[in-house]
Amino acid sequence: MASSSPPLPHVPTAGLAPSARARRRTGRWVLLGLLVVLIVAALPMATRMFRPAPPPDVGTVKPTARGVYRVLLAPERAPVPLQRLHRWTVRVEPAAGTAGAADTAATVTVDGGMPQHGHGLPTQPRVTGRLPDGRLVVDGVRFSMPGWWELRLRVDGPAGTDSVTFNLAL
Amino acid sequence: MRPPVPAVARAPTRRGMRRGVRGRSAGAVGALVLAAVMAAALIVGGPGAPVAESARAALSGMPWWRASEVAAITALGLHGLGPPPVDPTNRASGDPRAAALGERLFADPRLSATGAVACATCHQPSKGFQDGVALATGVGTGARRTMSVVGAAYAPWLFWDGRADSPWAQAVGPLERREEHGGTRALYVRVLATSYRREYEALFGPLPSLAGVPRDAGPFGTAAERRAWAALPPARRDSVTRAFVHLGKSIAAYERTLGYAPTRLDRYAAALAAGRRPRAGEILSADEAAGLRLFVGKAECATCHGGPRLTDDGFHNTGVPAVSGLPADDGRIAGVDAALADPFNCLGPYSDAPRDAAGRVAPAACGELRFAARGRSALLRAYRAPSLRGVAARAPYMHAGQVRTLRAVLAHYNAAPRAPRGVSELHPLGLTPRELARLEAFLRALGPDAAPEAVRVAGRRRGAARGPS
Repeated sequence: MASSSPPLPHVPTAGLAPSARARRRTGRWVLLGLLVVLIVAALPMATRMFRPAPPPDVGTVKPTARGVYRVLLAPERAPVPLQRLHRWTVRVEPAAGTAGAADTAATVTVDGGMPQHGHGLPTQPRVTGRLPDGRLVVDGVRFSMPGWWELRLRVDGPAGTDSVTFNLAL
Repeated sequence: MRPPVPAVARAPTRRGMRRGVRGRSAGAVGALVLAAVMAAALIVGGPGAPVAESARAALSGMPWWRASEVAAITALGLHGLGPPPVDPTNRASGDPRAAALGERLFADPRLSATGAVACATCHQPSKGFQDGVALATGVGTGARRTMSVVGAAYAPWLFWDGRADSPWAQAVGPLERREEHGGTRALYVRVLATSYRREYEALFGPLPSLAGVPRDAGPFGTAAERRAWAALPPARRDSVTRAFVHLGKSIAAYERTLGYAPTRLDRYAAALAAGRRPRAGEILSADEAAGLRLFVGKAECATCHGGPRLTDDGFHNTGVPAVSGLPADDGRIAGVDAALADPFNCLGPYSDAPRDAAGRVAPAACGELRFAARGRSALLRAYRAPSLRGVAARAPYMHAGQVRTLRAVLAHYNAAPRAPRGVSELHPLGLTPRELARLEAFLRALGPDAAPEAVRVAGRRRGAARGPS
């Protein structure tokens, strides 16, 4: 009978009354059950722990680093395509007071990359025009893989030069 | 749980019965708890939750994949790859007659200075359209490894350094290189005139007259060949060049029909994408599946070798050693300038890209060339990430065949040595010997089941239009 039992941690039972032995065996099963419950309950927590941290901030409207401008960034299409050239638009506004009016004298240069992989953008996007509402058109953006990408914009305008970094989770 | 005890062997006593019942009920409690917890994980976790996925996978006997891994793996399957795009710079790209002509030209050794070197000499169909040697050998020996032409229609850049921006611009390059085919465009147009006139003229109109054109004349030949070329009137040079370009466009039309043979990874990924258990013939072994997990995870292979073609079409410095005795090789930083200066590029006079009334290429065309990154230090000794499809049958590896075996390639990426010049993108991975062996097992599963030949995917019909590039 004992040889056909499932292997369990050895607990000395010799010399105990049969009822005490049974109680101990029941206790072992309960302990085992609790252990399983604990492991299963900890799994989701563990998966969350090992999941890569999301990009810090994926907002598309941001003040520039020194607060000189407010910049609104938008992809031409959503979801943002992978491995395909596409267009973005950038709206630059003076930061103080005049929200809604685009700064049509400001120009923008674009850079970026994947901070977690240490590489830059696979292309060199640039401003190719301006829409009637004042938004700048940025062409030549291409993302080669999913993940956390940065688009870094340098703004040059009458109020000075400033920069802003946008995070994208693709 | 316990086998029934024969009554004759041991008669049950009252106490024994009580103990047996209590033991069984305790075991049953444990089993119940386990079952309840598993069920709770399945139900509470909900569809798509990692734990639910894992539990379901465990119950079905499949490896445990996290939701993020399922997404990464299904992205590698060929089911996500559309038909090969038609090249807007090549009007013949989707024409089956051009593909048929290109197939014959591809195998014709008369397209060389010696009459002995065809495209297929290095791009051997029986070897997945490469040659299995470190340095390509045509009329002479070159300085780079032969790349496979399979899937060329999808690539925005061709050659290890991306110095061509279309398959036809790639095809005409080696024909005039001294160490490859070694001939001149005048010679090749003569071959067209003598052996392919009917097929050529049905596609591209009359061949130019070669009266007065020397047998060997071209801008990249010997000094005598270059002099002969320079002596021709510009209009003659242009008409010969145009016919030479059409030869390249026919070869590109043929190459567009060469697609990827499906592998077990593709069948596995398709099953995973459909949310069903892989059937026989779709299954990866335990080691292969563990290697796949590393490929999309810890080993970071999918960073550059992602997507259905297992390449990001990008250029990367991975610290591959320089080969002593070969000329200095700057990789992409020189390749992008060569592409921009190439008269056979998307913006050049021989491109069929859409033009306005003034003859200027439309602003929406040639995006890859217009927005190519150049002059960055990261492009120094950066080389194109090749597709990993059929990689096990393609030793030796890297742009000059520097690394002999797949195992040595994995050791290189694991160690992340310093680049001879420029800065390597790699960092040490800390993979154990067992993990490296599993990765290798997975990479060996990336070949087709039968002969390593490409499959015809485009057939004899037109495909989808090429992207905005």
